[in-house]
Amino acid sequence: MRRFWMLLGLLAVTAVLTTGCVPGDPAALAEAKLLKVDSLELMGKAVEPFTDHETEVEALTTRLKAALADNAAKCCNETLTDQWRILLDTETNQLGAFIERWETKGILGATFIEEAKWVVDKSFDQIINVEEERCK
Amino acid sequence: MSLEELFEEVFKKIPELAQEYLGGFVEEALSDSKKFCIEIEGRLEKWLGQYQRGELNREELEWLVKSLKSLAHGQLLSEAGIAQARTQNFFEGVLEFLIKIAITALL
Repeated sequence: MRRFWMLLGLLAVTAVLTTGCVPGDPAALAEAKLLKVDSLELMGKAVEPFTDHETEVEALTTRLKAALADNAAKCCNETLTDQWRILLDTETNQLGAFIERWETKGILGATFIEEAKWVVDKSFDQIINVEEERCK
Repeated sequence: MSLEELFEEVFKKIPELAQEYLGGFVEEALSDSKKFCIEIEGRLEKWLGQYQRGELNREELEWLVKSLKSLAHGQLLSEAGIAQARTQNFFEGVLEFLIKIAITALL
């Protein structure tokens, strides 16, 4: 009988833990991978004037903000939402700050762009790794 | 199958499921963290070299160095997110097995 109560307890804990967690979202994973490719491609264009790519930047920013909003809307998804915030914030020197810098400076140096792309690449991978684990 | 036997089956299965979903997680997390630190160290050396050769200016170097702080924060969040996902998969595995065995035993 003791085991019965132990199992009931385990089930209760299981129910609490599984309902509190976010299930895997293959669409979110696919979009994160696509956003990574598109973001890195656009960053590579920062050797050219920002004004030549304003429309592309706007379109990408809209998609990035949508990804952040989708994550923020999911229950108990604080860690992944914070990861998206780090990527897009203008104070953390990642993608959001890169775009802001491009807009301010007009054109960015090729070496700087390559190194900033490494940072953004890593940051996207950190997000994708979590999404992939959830989808297993 | 009696209720007692059913629970016995579930309890026997738990270590196997724990190994399947959680096994090696700590080692992997430590290895990933070490790999991350080595990568950061290598990148810092690269940036300092680029700065000394004039390929990066001071402002660009400072911008990049500051980005490492947020990248490290992101790494911690990533490890936490992976741990949460694995724990969830483990509990779902236990629940799935319990339901399966209960249906087999009771129907």
